[in-house]
Amino acid sequence: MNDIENGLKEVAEIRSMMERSSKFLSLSGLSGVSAGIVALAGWAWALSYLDSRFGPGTEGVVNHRDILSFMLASALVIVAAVGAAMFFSRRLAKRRGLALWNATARDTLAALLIPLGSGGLFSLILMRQELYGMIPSAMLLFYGMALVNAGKYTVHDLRLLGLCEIVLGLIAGLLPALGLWFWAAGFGLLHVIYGVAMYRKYEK
Amino acid sequence: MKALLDNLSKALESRVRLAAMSVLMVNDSMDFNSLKDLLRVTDGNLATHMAVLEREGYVRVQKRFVGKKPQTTYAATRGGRAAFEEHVDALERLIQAGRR
Repeated sequence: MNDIENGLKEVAEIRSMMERSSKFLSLSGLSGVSAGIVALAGWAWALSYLDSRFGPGTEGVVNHRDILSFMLASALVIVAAVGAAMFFSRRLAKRRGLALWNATARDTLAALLIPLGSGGLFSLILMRQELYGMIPSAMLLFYGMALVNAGKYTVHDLRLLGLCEIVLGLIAGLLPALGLWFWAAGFGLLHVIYGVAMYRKYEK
Repeated sequence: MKALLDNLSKALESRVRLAAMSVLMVNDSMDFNSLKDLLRVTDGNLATHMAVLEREGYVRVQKRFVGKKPQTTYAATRGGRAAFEEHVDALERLIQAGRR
């Protein structure tokens, strides 16, 4: 039946056009993997720094230098992770013949940045209140909400990652002494797992 | 079989026009260049097809200047949306009839 084959082809075309034009599909899984690795490197640095400053046999009072070091390290981690994410996403967009920057990319970014910006500011407030143990929890929670929010405009799987980050953030809030470990699990391990899963699902 | 084909919109028989309408069904509006990138067609080709859709009353065209560059933006009209939905319904019936 030629008409039916044509009909099915048309339906497939309609579906693909609707999806491609309304969802940001250039977020590469490799972005997740690289962000995870950068986060784990930052975590390793933080562990050794904390150990040298506040480990056994040290005097252990938080000073301005410590805070500055941590803020600088966080900034470096963010820049490296975002840079790598952009590199891999641009590569993926090019391979698929799509423009990286379009209306849906803008919507995705806005959906991410509003919760993320609030979370960043809130973390600074926690720092100012000297509630250091709650910072990893806050970062995970706000990041998770940002991902759930952005999931509307990109692959649906991103929402699942966001929900996992939220759960980790809540547990981290109950166990502030283990905050850094939850941070590493959420920003390091989960990113790597998610990235590999996405790469295998959509880019193979 | 013939009756089933009657409801298919003539204007949407073309691949490019069907794809363009699909895009405009899920986006409030879309500018010429973004549409061109999505559909992977040439300027002239897209302009011709969009002119047909405009003549049929399926899309509304807005021209304005962004800085010094003219920008053409398209949006689906109410009639265009209805025609598209009818076309998809007709496709559905056609496929169902074939499966029986």
